[in-house]
Amino acid sequence: MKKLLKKSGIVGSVAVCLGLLLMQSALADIAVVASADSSAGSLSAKDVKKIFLGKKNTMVPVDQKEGSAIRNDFYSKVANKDQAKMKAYWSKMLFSGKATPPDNVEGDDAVKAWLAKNKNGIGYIDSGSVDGSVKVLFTAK
Amino acid sequence: MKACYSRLAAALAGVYLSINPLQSQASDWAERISIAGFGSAMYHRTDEAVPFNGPPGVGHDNQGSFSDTKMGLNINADINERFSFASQLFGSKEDNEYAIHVDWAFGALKLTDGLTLRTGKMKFPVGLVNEYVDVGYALPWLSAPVSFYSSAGAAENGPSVTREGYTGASLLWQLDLDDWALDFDLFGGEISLEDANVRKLSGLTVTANMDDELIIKLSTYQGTMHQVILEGADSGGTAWEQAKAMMQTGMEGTKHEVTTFGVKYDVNNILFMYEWADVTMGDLTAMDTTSWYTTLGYQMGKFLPTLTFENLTQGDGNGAFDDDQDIITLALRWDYMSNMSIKFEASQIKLNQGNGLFGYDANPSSDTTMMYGTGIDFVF
Repeated sequence: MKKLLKKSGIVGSVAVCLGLLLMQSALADIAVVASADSSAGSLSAKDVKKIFLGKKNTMVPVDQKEGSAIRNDFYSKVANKDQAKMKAYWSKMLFSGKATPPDNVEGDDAVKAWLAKNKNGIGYIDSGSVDGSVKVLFTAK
Repeated sequence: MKACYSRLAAALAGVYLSINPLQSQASDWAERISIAGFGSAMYHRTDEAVPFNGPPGVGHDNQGSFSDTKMGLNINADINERFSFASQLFGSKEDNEYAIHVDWAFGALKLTDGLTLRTGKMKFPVGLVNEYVDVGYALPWLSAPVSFYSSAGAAENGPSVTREGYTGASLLWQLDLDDWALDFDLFGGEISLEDANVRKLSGLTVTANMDDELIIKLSTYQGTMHQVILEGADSGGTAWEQAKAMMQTGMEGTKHEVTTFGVKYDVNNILFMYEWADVTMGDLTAMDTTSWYTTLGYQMGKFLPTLTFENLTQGDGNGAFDDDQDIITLALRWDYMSNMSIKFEASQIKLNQGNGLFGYDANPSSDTTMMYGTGIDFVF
């Protein structure tokens, strides 16, 4: 019985830890970043939204992979749009010839690598992935 | 006139490129060109033998119809930071068979950050959704409300509000005001259709957009009708055919004027849309048209049920061309996958006067017709 209680205690602790990790992941800040060499200064939430929705052409945005948790979280925080609404939005823009959606790459490292090649680029990564290769222009909480 | 616009486009591109040479790295080109597509497979059936919103073989009747099935492929290229090109190949049912054509193709030159000059063949910038009306995935309904967006018999009994496209030029000024974006689209050119041409077309569309949550759009345009062909017009035929022949002759050189207003509210789970249009055809008051619709929807997860009420009124109240038609539609959009939606709808079409979008030459057996439809929309 003691063994059983001990076992269930371990299982419970693991479940709590996993839950906390998941919560932390879901609530993690997203850093909107440019190359460390970029001349861009800090941006407002509205600037970020306009750049990523193709309404402001001062910087070239790069997206994370479609369907990824960080991409869905980013647009939910910055544009208040879920995945379906973003898809519908870009369908309107793309198929009327008004704008094309940003290129997309998979993962924070790929975003940083893309920014290193595109000095006027802008992307978003988990705030925990920020390092010396990028500078933070805005943080989406 | 077409040659004139082609020369204008070529000249603009030439002048621009001569002062801003293209970057020639071949590897860049693949990144600059984007290809994407969309499609809709639709089925409609009514309880009426007389076809609705199109001639026999294209309109919807009690035999069932897949005629709204369509597919498109977009090829867009950002040549450099200021010059881009966009085009769309489109396949749909025309004259009882499926055909593919270049729906539109234009070049866009960004003169300043907010000012863009476009030239070529472009979608008509009138109506909240007309510029992407064929992209079912981008619409809440199975099809856009026909009282406003019908393409059936544009010169005869359709609302004649939204045209499929025009050839000409557009000066687009985009003004960024904190929460609002204001777009002014000054456009001009000509429209060539099988059954009518509109020359000396000029118009202005003003759009106020607050974060895509509230959109208000006002448009006005005018043009001169030429070479209008009304099917069945015959000056030596029956009284009805003679009336049509007179109408056809009378439309030559007539000024066609349209004013539209639209508002869209899309916040959280609530969707509201309203559009109104007023169309006049010079002295031919029998062709004057007023149409409007309103849609209310509520998003529930992957499901968006909508209720739409629309009205089309045509004529001057004392002629055989008078029409008054109401449609109520209950529809459901289901976002089945991230790039695919499935839709269902049921409509009641009620004729208060005339034959509405059933066409002049055929009398529906009843004043009330039920229409059912389903479809799959996708983008890739």
